[in-house]
Amino acid sequence: MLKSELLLFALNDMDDSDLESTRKRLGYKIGGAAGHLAKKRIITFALAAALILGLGTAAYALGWFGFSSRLAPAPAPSADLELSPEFGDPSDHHYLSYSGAMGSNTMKASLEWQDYYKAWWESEEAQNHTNQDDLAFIAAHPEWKSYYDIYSACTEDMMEKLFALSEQYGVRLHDSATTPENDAQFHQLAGIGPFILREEGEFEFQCYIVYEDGSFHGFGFLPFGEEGYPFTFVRSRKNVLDPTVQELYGSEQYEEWQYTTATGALVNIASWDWSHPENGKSLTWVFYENEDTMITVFGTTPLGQESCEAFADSFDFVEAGK
Amino acid sequence: MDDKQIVDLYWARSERAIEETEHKFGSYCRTVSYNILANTADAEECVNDTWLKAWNSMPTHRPSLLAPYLGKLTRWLSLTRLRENNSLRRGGGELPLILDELAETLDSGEDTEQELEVRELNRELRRLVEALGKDEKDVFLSRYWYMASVKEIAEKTGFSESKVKTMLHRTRKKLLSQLKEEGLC
Repeated sequence: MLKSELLLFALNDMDDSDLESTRKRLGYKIGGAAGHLAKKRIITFALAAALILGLGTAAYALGWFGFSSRLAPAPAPSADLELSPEFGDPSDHHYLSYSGAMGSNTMKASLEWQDYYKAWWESEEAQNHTNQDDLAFIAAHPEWKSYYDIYSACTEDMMEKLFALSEQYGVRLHDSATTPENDAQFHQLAGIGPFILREEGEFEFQCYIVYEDGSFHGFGFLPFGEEGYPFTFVRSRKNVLDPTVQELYGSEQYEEWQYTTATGALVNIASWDWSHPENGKSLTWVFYENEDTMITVFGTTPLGQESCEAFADSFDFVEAGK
Repeated sequence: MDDKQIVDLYWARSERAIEETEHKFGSYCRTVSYNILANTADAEECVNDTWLKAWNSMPTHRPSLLAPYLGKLTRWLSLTRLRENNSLRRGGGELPLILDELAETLDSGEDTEQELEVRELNRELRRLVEALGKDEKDVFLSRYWYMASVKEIAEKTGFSESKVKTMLHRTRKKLLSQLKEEGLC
């Protein structure tokens, strides 16, 4: 390549904040614009990738309460999907609710919202929906701005559906979300003290959303050896519709067991040596619940049961569940 | 939906991650790609490929800002698409003009095989951009990262087209001088 061509490639990795600043000045907007995209093709990519990751993993499922109780069967997606048989069964597709176990009203509401939301995405209305439509919706209903931000509800019909689900299942909707500016504000909004049981400076944690009832989502890094492993920590009250319903493939790939943490909390651990076995990593979930709160933690850990349990021991679930 | 929530969806291998990404960043990434390819169908394919790259990179990546993360993937894929077709100089939109501008400053007329130079060039480009004032920086990145036309940059920044051209010329000269100092040119 000529130097000028090389320069175009070398320019690619510029500072994120500079690129963001320039993007804004150019008026290249993000958010809300659903274009005419071949969504089925994308979903096919995603599903194929998920299934490929599951290949070759020896696995079994115990079906204890815990992981299994948090999963609900989801419809087989991507009707146009064509997979080689060795990719496995694409029907191993589940929803996971942060705020309710199988059969609970919160989970029912979550699943119905999820189905509705996905159907909307497949609709012609979604294909024609633009950023301007979002802006018009918010301008007409400023009182629904928080629902737009939290649930991505961008039409009057979507809002009606949210309200109907709330009434039918007796679940609340989150109506306020705050990004804490610092740890002190996070602890104040969430109403809990420190809950990560590692030495100060040994870990990182950043809460990025606290809802009006103290439910929160955050992420951080925990050290195993010299490497920091990323994790996500979600606390959700049980009577509320959490906007983030997870979809999972390969639930049968997980090993699951119960464990009492160093601080005496009974948790369920589910782990899958999935992500990059050649790098010695697993994807690990830890579940805890009490009367009114569910906690879900997931992240990568080194391979092996001991590492998964050390991961669980890194958190004071009783404090976080207050 | 917040960027970090979307990243969580990727980490949980949720298809909704793709939907939310498309919803939030689809038009932006299409603009980045179209500015390079000037072809709607090709840009669409590059954006699809961007979602696949994003799906395969999270985990293990956890970008804090998705717009630049996805924008870089899209831009790289779009440029690579042209390079593989050996058509960088026949690319659409502003690309041939942009390459001419850079060639005036940089090219000696000989091909370079030093692909490894990308990293060194990137280091120098970052140093250059860091030292620029905000207006110069925005104009430079608008032209050479976002591949916007001089006319568009003038409209968005409020500068005249001749001022934009002058600013770009000065920045290219600074770049040339810096690259010479470092023995990269």
